[in-house]
Amino acid sequence: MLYIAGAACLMGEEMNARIAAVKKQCGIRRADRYTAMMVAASLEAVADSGCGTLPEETGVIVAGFLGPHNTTGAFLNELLDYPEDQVLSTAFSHSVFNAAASYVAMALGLQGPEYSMTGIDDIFYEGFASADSMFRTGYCRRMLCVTAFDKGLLTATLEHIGFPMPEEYAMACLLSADPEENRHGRVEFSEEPPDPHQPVDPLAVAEKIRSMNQQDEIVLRKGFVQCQK
Amino acid sequence: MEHLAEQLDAMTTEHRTIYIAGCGCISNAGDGCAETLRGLYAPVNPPSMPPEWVGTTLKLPLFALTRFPLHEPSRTIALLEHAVAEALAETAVPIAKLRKYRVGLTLGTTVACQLNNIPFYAKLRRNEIDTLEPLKRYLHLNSADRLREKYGFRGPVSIVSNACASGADAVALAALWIESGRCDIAVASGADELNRVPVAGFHALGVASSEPCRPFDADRSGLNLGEGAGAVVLMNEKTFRELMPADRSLRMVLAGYGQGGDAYHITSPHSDGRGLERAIRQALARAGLRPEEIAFLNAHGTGTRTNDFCESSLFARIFGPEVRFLSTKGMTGHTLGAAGVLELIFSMIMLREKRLPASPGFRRKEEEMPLAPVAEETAFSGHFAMSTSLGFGGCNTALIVGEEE
Repeated sequence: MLYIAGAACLMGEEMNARIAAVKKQCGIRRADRYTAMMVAASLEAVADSGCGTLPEETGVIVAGFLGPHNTTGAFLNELLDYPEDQVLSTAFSHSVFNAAASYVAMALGLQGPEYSMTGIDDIFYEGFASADSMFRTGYCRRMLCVTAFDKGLLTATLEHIGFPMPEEYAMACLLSADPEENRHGRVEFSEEPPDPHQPVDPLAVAEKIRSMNQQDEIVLRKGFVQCQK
Repeated sequence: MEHLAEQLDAMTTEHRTIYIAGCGCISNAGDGCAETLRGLYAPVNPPSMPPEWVGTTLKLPLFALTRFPLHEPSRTIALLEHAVAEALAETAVPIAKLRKYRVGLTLGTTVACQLNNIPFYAKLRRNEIDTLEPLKRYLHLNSADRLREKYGFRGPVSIVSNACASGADAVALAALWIESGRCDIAVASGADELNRVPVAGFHALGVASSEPCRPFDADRSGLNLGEGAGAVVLMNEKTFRELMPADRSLRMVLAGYGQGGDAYHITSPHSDGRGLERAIRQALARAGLRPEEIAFLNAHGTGTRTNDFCESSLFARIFGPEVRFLSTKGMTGHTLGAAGVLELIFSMIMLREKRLPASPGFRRKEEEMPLAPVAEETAFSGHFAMSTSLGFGGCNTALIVGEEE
């Protein structure tokens, strides 16, 4: 059984303020904005849970469509602007897809399974569903599921060619197999195929989760898309 | 651990036993499992200077698959489809029959999930885009979705990008799906092509060697990048018995798996190897095995000073001074997202053969290093082998493959 122990959703000025705070609090000045957004949301979700310090066996799943696209671009800028033997190593190490998950794990001292997932559709659904698989098999008992979306050159181009982009956000849910840690209810999964005419709004899902209490249930359905095709 | 024991006991056997019904691979060790069997024991292709299509000016030896034709739009997807086709064919089950089951797909990759198209990006930043094709291809070339559409499978799909542990983590995720009953069959794969971005990146980090790599050797000076793809078809017991002939002679299982994070540094492993130790012990616990029951270890063994010392130290601590181990990256290079799956397949081959090749590239033991890999072809007995993978950011994974007795 998948219980929501804590949830957070950050946007706008609140998110910007949290980003500035966590960079100092967690000593992650080198982390890019995308990563800092995720760390900030993760800390908020843990605070919301009231769990205090998480057990180190807790895992992390980061789900994202474009990943750290701005930092990927930053490393490509290095290759375009400098000789290959002068490109910055930190630009490369922070452009790898799982850098954000690693920073979340470092900030919270989490040593459980760590996954960075990507794809076009179903990413957040897959993150939750994979956490469910891990709980059912005794693989771990707590999982922090995090996602974020930040804007930049690539997203501006996508919008220009007809792919509507949401506002920037960062979301995190602390999931638990322990009913005593239930704070925002249970998660169930629908196997119905995604409805191409009704893409799921991730921010609406986040708001719903945050408003839920222990007796509530949310049914996640495939089609949790971050942008329309 | 009590929770684990209870939950493993509660799981039905049909979900808990995971068979490896087919595998496919392509790397510098060989094109396909049959050629790889020969290549593992008689490697013939040392690394060479980068071919022109990689696009790098750095003089670094690479394990490029020069016989594999260039593919558009994606070499990684071409490698992936090549390996998956072999793995599915090895099951000898028609695709139409497989489709009747819930078949999941996991893919571990690094390069393929990011928009690493440098010419396109150069135009993008100057606002001089004359075609959106590279961007549209990126959006529509979701590798795992392509496989799902190509084979008509219905089941969960996920792309895992955990740096150098991606392939191993794809296997672990697929196993979790099967064990939890989310699907009956899962194709777990890993693939990465040689690409200018990681070539330049690893060089910038100071971990790429200008010579052929020598994992665990006293004079090792870093890694060589390679390319390739691997795929395994996993089945729960019920499905395996329905689809496989009863007289199938040799049955391989994914006996256990484990993952642990270092929570330490963005690139360097923890000096005590705490994340890898967690992964190894979890894998052993899930397999119900003691360390001494592991016949050999196929290490991550990249050839970097830090990684190799960390693994050697940890192997000594957990498995004792007599453990046999090697690194196959001396013959394939570091294939990034493909590595974890390829090395699981290599471990299966070596387990069947009951002999290990000399660890490629190794000549001399470092005095401070607790253990050295096998230095010559070595026969062994035993039914289980472990493959370890370590990734940037502290991802650590251990997979145990076994022969069903």
